[in-house]
Amino acid sequence: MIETLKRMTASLDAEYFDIRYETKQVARVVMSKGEVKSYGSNIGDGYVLRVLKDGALASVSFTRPEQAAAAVKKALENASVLASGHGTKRRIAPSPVVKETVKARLEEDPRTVSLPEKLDLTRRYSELLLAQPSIANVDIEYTDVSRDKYFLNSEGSEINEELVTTRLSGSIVAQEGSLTQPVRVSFGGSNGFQKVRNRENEALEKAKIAAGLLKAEPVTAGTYRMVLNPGMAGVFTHEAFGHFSEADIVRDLPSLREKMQIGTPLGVDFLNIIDDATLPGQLGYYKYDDEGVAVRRTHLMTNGVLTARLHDRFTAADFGEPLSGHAIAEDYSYAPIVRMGNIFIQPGQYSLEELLAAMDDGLYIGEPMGGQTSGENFTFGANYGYHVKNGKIAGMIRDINIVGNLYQTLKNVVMIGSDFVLKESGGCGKGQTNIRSCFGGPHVYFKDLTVGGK
Amino acid sequence: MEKLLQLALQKAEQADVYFEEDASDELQFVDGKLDKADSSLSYGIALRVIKNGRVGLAHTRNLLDRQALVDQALASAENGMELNISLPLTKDLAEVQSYDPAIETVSKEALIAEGQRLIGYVKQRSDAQVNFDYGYSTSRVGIMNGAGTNLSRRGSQFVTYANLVFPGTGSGLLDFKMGKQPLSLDEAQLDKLVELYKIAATQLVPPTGNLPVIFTPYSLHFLFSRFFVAASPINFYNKVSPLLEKRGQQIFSAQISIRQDPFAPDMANSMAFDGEGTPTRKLDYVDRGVFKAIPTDLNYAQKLGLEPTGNGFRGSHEALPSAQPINICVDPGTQTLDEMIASVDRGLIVHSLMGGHSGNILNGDYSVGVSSGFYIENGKLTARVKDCLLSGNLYDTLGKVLAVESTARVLGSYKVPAILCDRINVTGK
Repeated sequence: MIETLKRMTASLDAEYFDIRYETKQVARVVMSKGEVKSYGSNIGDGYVLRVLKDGALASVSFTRPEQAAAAVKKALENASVLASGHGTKRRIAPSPVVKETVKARLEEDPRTVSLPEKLDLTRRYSELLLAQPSIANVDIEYTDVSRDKYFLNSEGSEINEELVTTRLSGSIVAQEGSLTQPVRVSFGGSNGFQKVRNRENEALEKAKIAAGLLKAEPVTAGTYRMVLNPGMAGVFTHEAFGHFSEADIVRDLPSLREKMQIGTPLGVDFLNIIDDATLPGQLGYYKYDDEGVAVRRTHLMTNGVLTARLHDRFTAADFGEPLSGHAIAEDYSYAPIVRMGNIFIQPGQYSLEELLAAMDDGLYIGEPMGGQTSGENFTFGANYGYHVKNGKIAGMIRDINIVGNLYQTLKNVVMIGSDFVLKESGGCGKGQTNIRSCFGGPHVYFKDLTVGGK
Repeated sequence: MEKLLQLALQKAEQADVYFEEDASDELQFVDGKLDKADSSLSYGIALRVIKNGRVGLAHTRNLLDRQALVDQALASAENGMELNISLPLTKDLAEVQSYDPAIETVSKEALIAEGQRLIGYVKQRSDAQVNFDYGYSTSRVGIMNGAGTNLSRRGSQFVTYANLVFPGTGSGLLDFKMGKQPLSLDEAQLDKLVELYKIAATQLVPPTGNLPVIFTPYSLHFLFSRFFVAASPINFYNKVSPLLEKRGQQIFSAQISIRQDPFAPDMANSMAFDGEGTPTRKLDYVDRGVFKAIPTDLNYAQKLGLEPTGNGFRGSHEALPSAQPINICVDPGTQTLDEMIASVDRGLIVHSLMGGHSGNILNGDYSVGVSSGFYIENGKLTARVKDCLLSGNLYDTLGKVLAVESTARVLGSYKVPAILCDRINVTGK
């Protein structure tokens, strides 16, 4: 394949170019209320070409090899339009030339498991959950995505890396009269099919939570002390801080860039935030990003002070900061953008019981339901939570969505737990979907978080 | 396509072949400066087969081996969804304008010159960071089946938007135009953004309580998406929709009508047939507050004993058709936006919200952060609001409608006016 990519770009005259070809095989089983809705395995492929000429960076994605010449022409035209329109000048940070083949590190390769077995597994979870009290519906989906990426650049890098993601995820809906309450369940990761086996007890716990939500009371609006569970603390880290450590976002917002200089204190002095996609076994694992740069553990916040950012080769040159290896594309349809790999708050020293005891009265917030960032504000929702009275977990609450502010909320951390859990499924939508966006952390106790409601 | 279909029909009882081809271009200005010029060329083809009452799907972007694709579809049908339908014979459809040849005349140089002129216009009047974007595409979609249907259409889309970014943040004020032909933002739109930007220099956290809220067209998606999840046939079939027993009943204020018009000439997605070759049709989902209909594809029309409404769309060639509404038109009301603002003593007007994809969506519940919105006092916008949430339930919120704007705006697949709702839970300080 690398030879084909070389032929496609042989006559390309530019300061820099890279071309990526990918195949993406997706095996999927979808069931709704016990019936199969979708079943099959399919493969797609495509190319992304990027060209840097006269300081202008342009990209073209295409699907058919016979379009290669047209794509080269179009990329050069786009670069020339940018240069003549006095577009932003881009420089590329130096990065070592790499020639390497990287196979996925898998315990049990999902590609060796037959599609009927994947259906059986999905059906077993579906039937088990549907049989639980108060459960009216289960939508469940098994997916494995195997990407085989070939990367070539004008500097001589030639990389072939495989990424295999397995996931079983679903929504369990409890019903009583006209009231329905959904709870999400998901298992999976980057290291194989074994992640979705033998998880029945955890799935049953979720069904119990869904049934419990029918009796839960909607949360009362207000500002509370809250202990967030590791998943929720992870979403907080991703939304409240992570997006502002993505250098492309900061570059495109000059007034934010002024406020987000390296060395700026943003959080309490015992808060440490790290992005580490190199940790083996977790969902976000990869070796090289989609610019052929090796990903590295990056200490984004150290003792409350901003100490690094996530970069691609162009933002690293623009900021004059070290490469981090975070240029990630969803698949063959997209040029890469800066993405988090695996972001978390470094664990502290307290047990959950100590956090709850210190909080005394407040809320204990359970699993996340997705968040969103807009400017310095962000929201993050939770599937369920509990009142905490005198340091003890009490009645269940629902309909929880928390609003926060970048410049305030990182200063509202009171205590950090000693445990550490990373989420097994992600899905960050920043123009493209990154199904391997991983986050997590310890339990974290905050003061003054605002939740919406009646 | 023809050969693939014939090959599939040797083994399967029924089959259809669907393809889509798309060429798109984007130009982006960031902080007033030309920043991005990217292009994309994509193609995909899908084969759907029905065998022994089950459906299979196979798709590819490069059709190299027809027999392999047929085998893949048949393997998918072995354990696929039960599907007891007859693929339709559709022909002689009336022409629907989905393509404007003017799209072919777009020149990037001309767009850059226009973008630079309009950015200059804003810069003379404001110190805001201005982002500007142009996107345009042409497409071809076709479907052919064993019953004799052979349909195709060309499409064109153009969108341009301006965004004035609030300092120190990433949120801001947005306005755009969308359609089938090249379009320009007009100076009146930019003047309005500049005026709002000046007001946004003052900020406040609103008091917690029940306030009237004007939802502008940009902010309304989270409400209608909740309605269409409840109105989806799969949630009727699974008997979990809160609308299950509500057909013919008043679910919203009589000021709210939600209709589908696949033929609307001013919308970019107009089309005569869906992703299964069924003719599209006009449909009243909600008529003066009364819930009337749900969209159906062939599958759920059969399973629920309903007429197919021509709403079997494929999100892409990689997906089986599923029931999705198109060209959703909310009836305009009687007041101008200025009159609606003037009628509010103390309340909010919201332009964009965040977190709309979170929460108990099927139940209609929402709790959303305001990323761009203003406080209204004595009928005037006085400050930008920050750090606040709106919470409630779709059916309660659209049951408390005080006014609907007299003009509707086209926003992608929606054409909606602003809506003023009473007593929304606002959480601030």
